[in-house]
Amino acid sequence: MSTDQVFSALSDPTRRQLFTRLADGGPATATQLAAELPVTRQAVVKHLEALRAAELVTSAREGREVRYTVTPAPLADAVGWIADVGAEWDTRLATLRSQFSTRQPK
Amino acid sequence: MELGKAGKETFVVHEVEREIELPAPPGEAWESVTDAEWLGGEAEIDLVPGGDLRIGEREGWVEEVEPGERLSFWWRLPEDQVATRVEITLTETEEGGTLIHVVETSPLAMLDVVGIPLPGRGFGGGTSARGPLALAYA
Repeated sequence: MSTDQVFSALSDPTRRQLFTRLADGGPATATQLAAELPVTRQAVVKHLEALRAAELVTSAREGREVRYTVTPAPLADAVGWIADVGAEWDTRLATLRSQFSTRQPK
Repeated sequence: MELGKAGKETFVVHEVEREIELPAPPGEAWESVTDAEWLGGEAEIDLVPGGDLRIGEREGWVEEVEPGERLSFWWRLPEDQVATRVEITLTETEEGGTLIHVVETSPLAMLDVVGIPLPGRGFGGGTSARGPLALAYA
């Protein structure tokens, strides 16, 4: 696994969201993740495969479903930092943007 | 994130980048940006290079101030070992709005490699801890 692969995998906001969800909320199946996030199950599976290819998550079959778990990789700290800090900025910028929501451009 | 080489060590720069557009000219956007509560709660910023900064739980210092164009600062949470650098740039759009570009960088692995003390050590100990860092990053 190369660092490029890791960051390429996390360059997509939906994949970051999925990864963060798995990191914070623990192992989950694609069906569970699709129910929690505004993404179809099919898209979730595709994104999880990209995360798995970068070895950011592992998968284990459970009956008819596959359960995904975050990998405690050496890069977990870097990845976690980027996910956390990115989410913080999304919130802050939404706050800043909301201060202008009622105004029109001059 | 970027990778680089210093001697035999590989170092990692963590970096997060975001961009939004505000429907106001840079001058007006600057006022909102520097009224820093949107950054995380009650905020006090001494808007001069080296000025103190307190935003919510975070503490830090200002690095660069170019009114209407750019604000950069370093900050950290009390429990964090190291500070990170935030750079906010404002660019006027063709429509008369403002593009806000934010980059938060944790370049400390790199600083460690070149032997510069991390800001977690001696943080708040006056300007001596700030000068070399700002220079090293620039």
